[in-house]
Amino acid sequence: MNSNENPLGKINNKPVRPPETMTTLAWKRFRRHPGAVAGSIILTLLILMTVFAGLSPYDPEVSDIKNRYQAPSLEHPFGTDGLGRDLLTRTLYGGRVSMSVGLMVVGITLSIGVPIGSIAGYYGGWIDNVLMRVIDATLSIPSLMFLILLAAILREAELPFVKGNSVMTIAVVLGVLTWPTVARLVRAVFLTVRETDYVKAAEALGASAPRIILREILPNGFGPIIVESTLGVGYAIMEESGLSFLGFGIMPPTPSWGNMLNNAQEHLSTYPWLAIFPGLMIFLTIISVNYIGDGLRDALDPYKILGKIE
Amino acid sequence: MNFRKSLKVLIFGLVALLLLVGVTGCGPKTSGDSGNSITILIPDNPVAFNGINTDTGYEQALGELVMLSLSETDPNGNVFPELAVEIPTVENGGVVLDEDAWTMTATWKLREDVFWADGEQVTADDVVFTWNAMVDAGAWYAPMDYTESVEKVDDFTILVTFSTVFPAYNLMFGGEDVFIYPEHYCDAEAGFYEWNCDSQPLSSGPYILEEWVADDHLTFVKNENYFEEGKPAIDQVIVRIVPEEPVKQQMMLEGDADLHYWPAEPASNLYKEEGNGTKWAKSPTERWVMRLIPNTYVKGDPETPHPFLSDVRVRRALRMSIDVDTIINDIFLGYGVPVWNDFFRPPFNSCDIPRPEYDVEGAAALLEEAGWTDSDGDGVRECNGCDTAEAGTMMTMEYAIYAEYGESLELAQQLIAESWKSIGIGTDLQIIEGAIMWAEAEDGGTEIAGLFELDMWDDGYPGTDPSDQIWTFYSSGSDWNYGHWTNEDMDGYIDEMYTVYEEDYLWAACEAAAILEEELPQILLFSTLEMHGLSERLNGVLPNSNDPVTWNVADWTLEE
Repeated sequence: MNSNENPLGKINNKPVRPPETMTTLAWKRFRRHPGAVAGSIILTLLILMTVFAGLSPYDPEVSDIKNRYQAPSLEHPFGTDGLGRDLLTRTLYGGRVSMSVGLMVVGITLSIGVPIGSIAGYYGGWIDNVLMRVIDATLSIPSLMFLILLAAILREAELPFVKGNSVMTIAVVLGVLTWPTVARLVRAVFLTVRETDYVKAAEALGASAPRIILREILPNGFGPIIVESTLGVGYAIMEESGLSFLGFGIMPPTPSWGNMLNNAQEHLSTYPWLAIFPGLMIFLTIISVNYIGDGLRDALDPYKILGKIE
Repeated sequence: MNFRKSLKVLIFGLVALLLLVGVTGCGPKTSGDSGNSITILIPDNPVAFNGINTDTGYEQALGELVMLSLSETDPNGNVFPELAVEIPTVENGGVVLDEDAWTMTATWKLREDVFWADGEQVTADDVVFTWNAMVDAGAWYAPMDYTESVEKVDDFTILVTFSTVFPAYNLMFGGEDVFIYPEHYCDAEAGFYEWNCDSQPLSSGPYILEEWVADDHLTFVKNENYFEEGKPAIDQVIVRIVPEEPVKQQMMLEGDADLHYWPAEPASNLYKEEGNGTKWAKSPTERWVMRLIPNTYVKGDPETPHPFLSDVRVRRALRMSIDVDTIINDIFLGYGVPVWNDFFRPPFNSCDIPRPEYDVEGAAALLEEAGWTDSDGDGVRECNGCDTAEAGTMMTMEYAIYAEYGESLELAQQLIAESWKSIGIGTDLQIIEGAIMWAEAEDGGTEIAGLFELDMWDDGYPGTDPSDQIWTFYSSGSDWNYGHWTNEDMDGYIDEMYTVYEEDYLWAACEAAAILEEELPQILLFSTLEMHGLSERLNGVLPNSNDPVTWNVADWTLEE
């Protein structure tokens, strides 16, 4: 054999492609999931629309009282609201708020859930017991009542970043309740992986606990964590809408999809577009995110990837 | 048909029957002739049959169905007797003044033909019992401050002795809040706020409470012992708790309800349209005035004046920059009348104080003059030479309304905030449940505890005498002086208003009005109408800004 020749380059004189990485295989599987692809396209469009909402000729918070409750038209494609404000513009700006809440909630969830799940799963014993009871206790709290209570308290609290019914307040309120799901997931990964030979070998070689947690075990949980995070975005948008719908979320005149729906209640039969468009946006975002989550679950599932290789 | 098939049919029939019974059993019971029954729609479950205990308006409305008072007020503000034979006056000898001591007595004569639903007679003992129960419970009720004693003279005569001349004596055992309770039935030991009379009232009024399913409905049936011959004409009244405005509208349009209590403005328009099988009725007089209440002290700190709301120039600028006409005509759909002081009703007619102008530029100039300018160009003014705050203090504040009013008030709040923003006043808009806003201090009530900066809600006085409301809102001795603004001259004129001499009374009232106009402790905007949606078949309903719409329920009739 020529020493310069790649030993895997040819088998029986036929050229062989180098083996595909897990990422490549996952991407291929993701692309074959029609729902996930459609969801990605729709979500990207929605994000682009909200990012460029500032290009609208209308101000989302400035009234035009003589044009109240205009039906959808070329001038106002989504119609206007009770103060004559362009509903398309408000819907797009509302999307910024709702999606920001979604992303911030996931950030808070991961910041709390991943460390707690990792510590519980790696150390086990009484630490695991204590942390799991905390998780159980958190999960047992009736979520809506707790969210309303917490929102009411934070609204009055004098805290540096959490003031009034701001995006941050709502994100903190939702994040406080959603981290246990991620913590449990991460703990489950740790319980499985910490007994494997390579982790034992790393321990025998004197690797520190933080190194083992961060470098050896945690990467195994990236797949489920990513999937859970995408689903978490949808959950947070829905909960924010629910809170705003009940009057505990983002306060007008700042638009959010939830408070726009809330304000549409009285006019369902007379001005249905007030509810249809924000409702449609919530629907499209949630379903897109859920399909993306589904696609990622399939794509990142090692058994399915291996099954495909075989 | 074989046995198995017969069994199947039998089981199917039984299931269908059970479902039918279940479904029909879920709704309120109706009388045999459901055609002589009406349905009233209200949004909240009433707390009790007691207007002193809780004051959402629905307690009083349902109380009117089952209980009577000594006197009531009609839609034009005239006081008329109900359990009393007549209203005591100086002219008929019922009121005796002691001008030297500046005290008075009032003697009430009761009707002798009124009976409780259990057959017992309504007597002076019941009136004295009701009064004592209120006193023992420590209920807050303005006449208590001026009343020395309430005594039974005989079975149908009561003597009330006042510590001062008290012009509102004629409604102290009635009006919208007070009903007379039966001594022989109410559990006196449980006390005024806890007794059975508030949940299972014994009727003296036109109807008897038959059923109360919390948060769903209350059913009332005709009181056969009611003292007015041939009344009430309607056999049954069902009050349904329906919080959602669109559902209420639909029920009215479908003919499933006869009275929509306090509909939102768009619904009122709907009910006025011909062909909808509905109609609309409003009170001939206004009462409820939408007002801004600035807290002149820092939120939650009754010792420190507010950095800018304590300055009358700022309060004046706030008023000048509100386009009241646009709010009334475009948001409240014309259902309102501009109001700029508490004395807008007869006999005062605003004391000739002219209507303030809408002047945004003037408002901005006034803020400049008060030392509030936007020196950093961020759109919000800061204190730069103001008298009431440290230099650099931002001109932003919390601005709250109550949730129950609905969208019209929310839109008005946003429009006002937008106008203020245009002259550099920042706001943090809030919507708070009325139950929190007006709760007692120990229950977290934001108003009474001063836990607000600027609130907007509607209030007004029943009848023609505003003395108690003026005292409540502006006296230095009142716990309900929410804005914490006080003025010695104002206290003096409020005291002067407690007289039975009309000339003195009008003079004191208009002097007080002049001070309020000068100082603007509250910013009055417009009156909202007392209005109700009705089915076409329901007649005799006379909305009353001085009393709940059910004040004359015994006179209501149904078209065949």
